[in-house]
Amino acid sequence: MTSIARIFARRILQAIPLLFVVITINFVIIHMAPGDPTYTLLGESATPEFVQAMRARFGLDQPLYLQYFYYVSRVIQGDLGFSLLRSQSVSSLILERLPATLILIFTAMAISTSVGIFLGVTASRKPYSASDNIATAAALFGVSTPIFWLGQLFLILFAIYAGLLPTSGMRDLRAQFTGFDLVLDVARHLILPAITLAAFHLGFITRLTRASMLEVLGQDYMTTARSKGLDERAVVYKHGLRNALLPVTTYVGLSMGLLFGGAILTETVFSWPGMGTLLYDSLRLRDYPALLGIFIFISVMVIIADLVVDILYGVLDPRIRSS
Amino acid sequence: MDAWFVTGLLEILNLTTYFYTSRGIVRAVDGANIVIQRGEAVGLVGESGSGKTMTAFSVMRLIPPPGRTVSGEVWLDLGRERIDLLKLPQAEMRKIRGARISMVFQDPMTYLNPVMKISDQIAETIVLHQGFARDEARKKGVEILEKVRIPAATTVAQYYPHQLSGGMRQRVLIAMAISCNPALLIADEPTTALDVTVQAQVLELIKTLKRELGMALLLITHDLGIVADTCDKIFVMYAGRIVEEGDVFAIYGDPKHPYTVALLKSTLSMDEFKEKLVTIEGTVPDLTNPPKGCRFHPRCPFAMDKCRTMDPPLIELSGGRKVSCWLFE
Amino acid sequence: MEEPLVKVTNLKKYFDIRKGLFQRKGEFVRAVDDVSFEISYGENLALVGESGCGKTTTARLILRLLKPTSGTVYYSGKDLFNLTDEEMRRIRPKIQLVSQNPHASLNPRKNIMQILSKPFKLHTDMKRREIQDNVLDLLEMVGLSPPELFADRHPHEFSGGQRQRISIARAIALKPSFIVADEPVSALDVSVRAQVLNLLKDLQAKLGITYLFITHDLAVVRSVSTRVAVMYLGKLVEIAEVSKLFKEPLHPYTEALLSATPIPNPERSRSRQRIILGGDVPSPINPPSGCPFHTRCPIAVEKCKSIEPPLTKIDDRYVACLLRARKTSF
Repeated sequence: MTSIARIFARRILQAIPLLFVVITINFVIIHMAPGDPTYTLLGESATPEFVQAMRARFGLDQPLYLQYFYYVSRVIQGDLGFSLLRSQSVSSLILERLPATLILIFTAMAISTSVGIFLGVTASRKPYSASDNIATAAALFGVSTPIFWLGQLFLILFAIYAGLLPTSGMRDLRAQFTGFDLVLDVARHLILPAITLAAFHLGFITRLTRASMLEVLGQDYMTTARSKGLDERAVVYKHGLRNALLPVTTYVGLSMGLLFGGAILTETVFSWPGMGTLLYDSLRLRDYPALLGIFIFISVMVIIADLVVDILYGVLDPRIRSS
Repeated sequence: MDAWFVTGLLEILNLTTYFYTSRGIVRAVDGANIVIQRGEAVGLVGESGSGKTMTAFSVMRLIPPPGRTVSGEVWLDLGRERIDLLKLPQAEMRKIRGARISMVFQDPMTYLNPVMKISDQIAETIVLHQGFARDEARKKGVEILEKVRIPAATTVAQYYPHQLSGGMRQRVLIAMAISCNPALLIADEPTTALDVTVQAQVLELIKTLKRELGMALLLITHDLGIVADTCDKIFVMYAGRIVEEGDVFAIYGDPKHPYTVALLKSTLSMDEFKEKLVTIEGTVPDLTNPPKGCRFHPRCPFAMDKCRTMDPPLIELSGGRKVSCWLFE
Repeated sequence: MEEPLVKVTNLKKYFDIRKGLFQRKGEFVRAVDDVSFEISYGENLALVGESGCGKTTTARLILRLLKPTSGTVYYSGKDLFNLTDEEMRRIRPKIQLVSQNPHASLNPRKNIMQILSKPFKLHTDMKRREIQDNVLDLLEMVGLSPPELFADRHPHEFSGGQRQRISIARAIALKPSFIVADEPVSALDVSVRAQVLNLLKDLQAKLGITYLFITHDLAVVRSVSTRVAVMYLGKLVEIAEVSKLFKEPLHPYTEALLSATPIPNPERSRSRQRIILGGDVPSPINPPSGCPFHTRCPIAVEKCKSIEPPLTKIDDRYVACLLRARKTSF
């Protein structure tokens, strides 16, 4: 087994207990809420007869450990519950909305990572110079600005005043675009929300890259690289960046969780039809099954992101592989 | 014969490198003169703060900011022509680094890139200077690893630095340095971080490679033991200047400059028991404000009035020896 | 025969290697592997070896900074790991350490007076005035004069040699009988080494201190120590009086070590016979069978691979070698 495959296997094995913990917490929440858990699951408007029927169906008259067992086996099979309010299984609700959120999150991650790293490297090459100060100022702005404020600012500036970009939604509902036109349309709608969501992370990644690069640039192996006759660009990018990106990679992976949170706010501001708005609406409507299902789902997503980061780190840093 | 007419492989003339710091101007190298002949092993000896490492960095033009080489000439004999390295444009200087002059550093752990394979780190130089393709360069890299006597070279080539021992890592640094057959190898404290028996191996390797490749060697160290064993000629450096120069047997047998005398006297040897260890009074001068006149005068037991005010030039003695001291006027 | 001040008997320290939360390798790093020796009053025993030989771990065990896996350390006849609290309180200040790096061992945030007052504050009930006087005396004793000039300043304002003197001052504050010096001059410039070593020698004469010198530098040993113990892969391979060891080393590893140590004299250096050992030091996790040195030994024979040589006494020295233990010195 190659060392990378070994890391993969080991991390997955470690992730499984974590998943169980998450599912168990979910289960505990359901059963710790005041009142009958059936009402938690069905909502307040259910009639007592319905509740009886559902109780039997959900096995709520069974002993607790059996309920737990059933619950876990359902979750593992992908059944996250049923939302009576919307007459849909929670899983299908999530799957409907998931692509939109993923598009938003990945675009935001791509923007913040690429621009952030570029700005960070530029800033580190000439510390305290004009370019560094500009990059740092931009980073600070991104990190300090609340998402909903920034999102609405963009809306007002670019969508309402300038009329350049659409104000809401993922696509134009009147004109029915298809194929490549559809892609362009979504892209137009995507610009403002993606930048809004990316702002914080862009700032953070810029500063992180800058700090990491500064530390790496002072390392002895950079002197060795120069003494071989490499030009400065090769020294900085080939030798320096590979080492400097290690902590940045960790941050990018861990920020998945933060991005989900940010996505909720962003989607709300821009009426983006993703999981964020799903979550917000479910909160408003008190759709408990949906909320609980989403909770598990997001937790799983974060665990997977973490896993990916760990593996990526093992790929990037050979010292981790040997231990 | 008169040394003026002999042209060496590398001639450092009046090299001056200052560091412009907030504390003041640190005169790290203040008029150093060194000549290295083809195939010669030269030792540059001094304690910390003497400027010896910065001299090497100045030759390679790797002085980090806030340092700058302010004046001087560094002539390299390339056979058909002689060029002043200090006046070369950066692009030309990069062709020299790693190819005509290479450097080996002190700490093999920190001087190797931790996330790059050994084979890639060696191949890099070969690709850069000899224009080989990647795969060719990697193959050549394995050959060079064999040349530095690394066992199982093909396997080791696939390793990362942290998987090797200190001695092996230093051999890798040496392999990188000799990969393009340089005319001069500069080794800056190459064995200080190594165990004694490993040190002996590495020095033996450097001597062998020097013979096999016909390289000149500039060995920079504070260890008077290893230069005694390895070098033909010694330059003693103090506070940024060369204070004495001569053949290795002459310097050890009959040191002239009071600093050299004191240094040799205070150096411990496993070869003899010293009841009372001789020390040098005082401390190394502050290079932002070096003493007037001869830089060693505050610590010199023979200091005269002249020494306190006037800087002694490099005075020639017989046998190619030079001393920078008024006692020998 | 006088009792030795320090007696180490069959000392072992094995470190457990674990990988991760769930795996236990069942392997050990045999850092110190059955080591026995004595240190007499007033002597300066050098413990030499290369990295990984176990000398630093041995020092730590003697200083009670680590607990041994097995074996005993006797100080003044008492088992250091079986003392009553009262005994411990009495003995603790008597055993001190001077370590290698003068940067790391002095608190950069405190000034010299504060640093040197600490031992007095911890172990005596002297009043402040008395402590201050003692500190100034200490500074004088280690050659930092006039002491008032040094007391107010912070470690970073001093050179390496001066900082090492301050470390030494701290070590002798409570009038110890035994000092472990771990590479006390390796981090210092050549011309400064002599100063610090002179100081240590003077203090030994003045205060009657016994030293255990841990070092890899045989040049220091030659001029400073009275006896030498050589370690390799956690075991003692040779113990002898200094001049005898250098004139006539018995163990092949000692020979190689001497041969590899540079001599600042070109004639002597180039005329001697060089023994260059092949390979690297084997891992202390999996030491070779039989004699630990056999894999690199120039005179190894078949039996060296299977029989571990005991530390054999020959006249007044010790050697752990199947072939050399028979040779008698003249």
